[in-house]
Amino acid sequence: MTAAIHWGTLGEVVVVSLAAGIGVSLVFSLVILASARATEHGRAGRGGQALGFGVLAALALLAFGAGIALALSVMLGK
Amino acid sequence: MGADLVLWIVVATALAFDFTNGFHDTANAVATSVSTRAMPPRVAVALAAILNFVGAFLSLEVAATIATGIVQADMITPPIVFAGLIGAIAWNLATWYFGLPSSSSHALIGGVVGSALVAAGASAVIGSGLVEKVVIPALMAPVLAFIVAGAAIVVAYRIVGRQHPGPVSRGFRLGQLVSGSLFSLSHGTNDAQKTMGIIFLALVANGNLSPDDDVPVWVVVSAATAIALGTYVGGWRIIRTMGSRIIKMDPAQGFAAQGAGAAVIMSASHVGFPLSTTHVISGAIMGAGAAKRVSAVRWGVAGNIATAWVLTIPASAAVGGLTYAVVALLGSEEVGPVTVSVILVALLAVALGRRLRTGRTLTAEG
Repeated sequence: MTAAIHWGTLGEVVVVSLAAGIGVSLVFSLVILASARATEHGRAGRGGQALGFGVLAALALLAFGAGIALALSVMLGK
Repeated sequence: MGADLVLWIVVATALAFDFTNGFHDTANAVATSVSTRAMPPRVAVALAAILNFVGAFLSLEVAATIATGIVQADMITPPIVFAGLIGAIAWNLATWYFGLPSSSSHALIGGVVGSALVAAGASAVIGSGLVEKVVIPALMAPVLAFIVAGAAIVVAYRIVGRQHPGPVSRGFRLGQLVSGSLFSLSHGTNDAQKTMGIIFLALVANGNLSPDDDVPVWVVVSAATAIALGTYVGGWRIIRTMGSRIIKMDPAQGFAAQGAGAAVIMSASHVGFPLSTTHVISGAIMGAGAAKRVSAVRWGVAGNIATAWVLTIPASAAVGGLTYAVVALLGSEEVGPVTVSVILVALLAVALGRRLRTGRTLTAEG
């Protein structure tokens, strides 16, 4: 019975799920944090810091989009 | 003629099951978005229906698993498949009535295993396939989703915890449009294929296809349509349980649960495990709640859900086995399925008529 269980495949599912699930939450939270900070600094007239957080938000959003695109390509690639 | 009639009854029953699958599992895709008000309910179910339809075309890995990995395809006859489907539909309708999110996949597998056991004995069931493709994923799915969603929400709270709640909630509600859509898509790739697998099994059993053939396009299109229609009709009782009775969710938890759920389902369906989306999203919702505060999860509700999970395979197997016994008792091949179908359709019509007379429908708010 144990021979039927492909532990390597199960392990792959666990690792990919953890990386993808936590990764998506991490980058999207960064999008929200950096956007909020960019807005705050912008309102306070601190243009440099606002720009820095704006760039961070854009990069995090790009990473989030790339993650979604990767997930879709995995589905389409089967 | 008789064999073809039985085959078409099986195909129609399989599509009816697929409809109940969508109907029953709408909650998996939309409950979190609806309860955090990321989307209006009708928009959420319409989007889920469309994405379920699209998702059904993206992969056939799980269809192959269902068709070949659980029961001996060469010992399966259309009446066995028919009886198994009746077991699955009965369980789906019973759990919908009580608002319990149970696994349609396990109901289907249980129904077919039960009818195969009664019809052909234990040799018809592939024990190792059942362990590898059903038992292990069933144990793993909710636990993994619980851990992933719990870790995801802890990370999210650490990052945005000191921000004003307003922009954070708005941001995560926007994120839920994406995570909810991804989850619906992954649901389509996973669940519609089970019906495709069952119809494929019936076509092989009837001699129309060989086990090595591809799943025909009409099977893919009809299964995708049935699950999308069922999803659009929506099982509101289960949406209520999933969306607000397990935990009271904030948008960040909704996002984490959907993101974690989609990640688990996609990685599992990529390697061909027929995971239960219900187990995954229920586990993820509990994980997102427990990571914030263990007492935030209504463990009594969670216990009822877990009990339904444990009972799913035995109960649907019992109905599947009993249905096959009745079909076999009625004699020649087409008489059994035709008689049982007519009786069940009549019973459903009576139940629907009663609900309509009392001013309630199956679709609106349970």
